[in-house]
Amino acid sequence: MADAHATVLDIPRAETTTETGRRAGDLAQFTELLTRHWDSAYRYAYHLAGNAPDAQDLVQQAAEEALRAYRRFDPNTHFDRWLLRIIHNSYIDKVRRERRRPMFSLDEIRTPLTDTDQTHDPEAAAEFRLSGPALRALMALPPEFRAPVILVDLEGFSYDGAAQVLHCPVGTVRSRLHRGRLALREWLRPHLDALRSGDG
Amino acid sequence: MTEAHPSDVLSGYLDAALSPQQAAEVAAHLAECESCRAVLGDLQSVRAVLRAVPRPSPHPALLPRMLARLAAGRQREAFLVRWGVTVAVMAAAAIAILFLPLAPRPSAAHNGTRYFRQHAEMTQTLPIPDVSLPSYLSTPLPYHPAVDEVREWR
Repeated sequence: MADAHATVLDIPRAETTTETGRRAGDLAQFTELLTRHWDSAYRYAYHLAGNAPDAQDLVQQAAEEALRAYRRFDPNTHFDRWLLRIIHNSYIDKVRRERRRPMFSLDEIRTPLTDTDQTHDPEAAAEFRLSGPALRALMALPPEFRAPVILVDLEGFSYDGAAQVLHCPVGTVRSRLHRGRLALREWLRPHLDALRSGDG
Repeated sequence: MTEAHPSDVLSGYLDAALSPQQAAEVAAHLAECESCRAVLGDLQSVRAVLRAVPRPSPHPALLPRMLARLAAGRQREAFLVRWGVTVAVMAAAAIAILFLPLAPRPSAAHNGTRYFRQHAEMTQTLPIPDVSLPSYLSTPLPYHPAVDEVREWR
């Protein structure tokens, strides 16, 4: 699979000698890299957290942590994978802290959508689309299975890229992705059948 | 491969993430196993559904706000570092000013002559013609086997 995220850092590090100069150079480079990968970082945070406010908190917290740790970032590696790993770790820490995460019942996932769910508010309609059956089923997956599915199927990472983000072997990514997809297949079976018959 | 169902590698096969040999083995199994073909079809459908999920966009103001916050944080850190250094230097100076008069002073008997007295004692104990530092350091140590005569001489 072609990796859509092959963006090794191509910005030279600042060659200033003073600490203030180095910090200013770091901030400028970090700003450029963060801007380049902001949308991807937000999407990953959104699909992990399951809602926009938590995603905003998560991505902001991760960006601050990434800037603090930026001196340790290896410029010969992929910034987006590094940033997504920080987001992932922040999310896992948050889940462990709170000891809870939003859960959806499988009955809710299987419930067919009705006209009463529709709305004329564009923002609400967008939210409605985002919280469709697939996303609700995705949120019902445990984080360790959800993360590879998000990275590979939603964000287009290669197995190798996902393994770098998740800091685990490629075989683990392949196994968890497969099990995640199998769980989604069961929960989304009515929608998949509709898709196959041409109604989806 | 045709005996056991290649469960975990079906997703890898779907994503073309297997080695050529593994892919060939899975393909051979799929040619004979209808249930695995059905699973592969389901996985393909799941992947298609996931790929069609709308991509949420961050609020347009989120990134500028974030960058402003990061820049402000850096300025605050730099300010705190500068003031920390300044305060540390001032504290050290204040301590020096306060406690320097209390430090013991050399007695009048030793004042100004201590170095020469020590020098005289040392040259008496170690009668080396040149007691300058380079010469002293280049002199073999007394316990060195090559300088027994020095030890006896002492």
